[in-house]
Amino acid sequence: MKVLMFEFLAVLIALLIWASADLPDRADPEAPANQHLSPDLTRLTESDVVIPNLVSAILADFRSYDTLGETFVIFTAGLAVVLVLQRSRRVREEENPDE
Amino acid sequence: MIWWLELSLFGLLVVAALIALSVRDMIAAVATLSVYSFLAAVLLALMGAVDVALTEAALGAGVTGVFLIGAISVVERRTPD
Amino acid sequence: MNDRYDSVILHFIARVFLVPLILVFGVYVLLHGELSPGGGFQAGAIVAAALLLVRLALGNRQAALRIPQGLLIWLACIGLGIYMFGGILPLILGYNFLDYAPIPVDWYNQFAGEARTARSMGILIIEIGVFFGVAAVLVLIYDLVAGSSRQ
Repeated sequence: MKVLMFEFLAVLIALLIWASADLPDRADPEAPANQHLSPDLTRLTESDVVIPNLVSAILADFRSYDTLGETFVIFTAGLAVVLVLQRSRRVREEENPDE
Repeated sequence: MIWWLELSLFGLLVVAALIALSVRDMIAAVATLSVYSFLAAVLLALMGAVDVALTEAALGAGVTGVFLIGAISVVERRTPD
Repeated sequence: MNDRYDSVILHFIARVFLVPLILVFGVYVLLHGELSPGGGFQAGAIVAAALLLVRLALGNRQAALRIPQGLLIWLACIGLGIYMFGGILPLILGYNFLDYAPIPVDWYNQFAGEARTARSMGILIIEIGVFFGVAAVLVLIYDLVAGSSRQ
């Protein structure tokens, strides 16, 4: 079973390396990903949001609804963990009756 | 970019992932997973994505390892697989 | 993992050197979120890592930096409330939700002697909100998971 897994992983690695030959270079301004929206966001950050960190400008200003949803997701995860793992007062008294 | 540095980091990344898959002791697997996350953070910082690297180093290499150790202390430490 | 691991070197390094350093670095990452790499999420994770380091090194029953569970839930709620405040404040002043342009910054610039724009002030407000939410939730999850392993 383990040999099968490693063979599968080797095939997957070969496939990914073969596919990565077609990708554009890193930080290539002519790449398709940098053609559509990035110039507008960079220009708006320089003119409207006057801060040096482009990532913070996108995360907290242009896409602040996404960050709001992310905060809600983390908060909901915390509440779910509290509801699942919290020991109620009755269970605690049953385990330690002398407290 | 220093291409041999990145290549050796990628090699270490694959080695750390394979060790984390194959080791029996789960605490050792968690430690190797933290090493994997830290190497991934270094690679991301080399690629210029410093924000993602900071998140990966703080969450992936720090907090996730602590959470997994906390979960292991509840269940069995050694895995039969 | 609930017990104290008795090692003088570990206690000294964790309590005197590492934890204050990580806490200060976390606050630095939060306050310089729009100038340098970082932001609310990363700062919350770093501060939570410092608090978890205290719990790992000194045991769960130590007295230092122990935050009660109700306060942690309240901190997460307050973080979300700060975020919603940063969104609703422009709504009250007649702009769109989460559009930071009308946030008043003149009093802050006079008080702190900076030249901060309204948009960077709004980014700082919502990053403080994200910071409280993330840090409180991470510490809360660890406290519950490690507390449930008590036999």
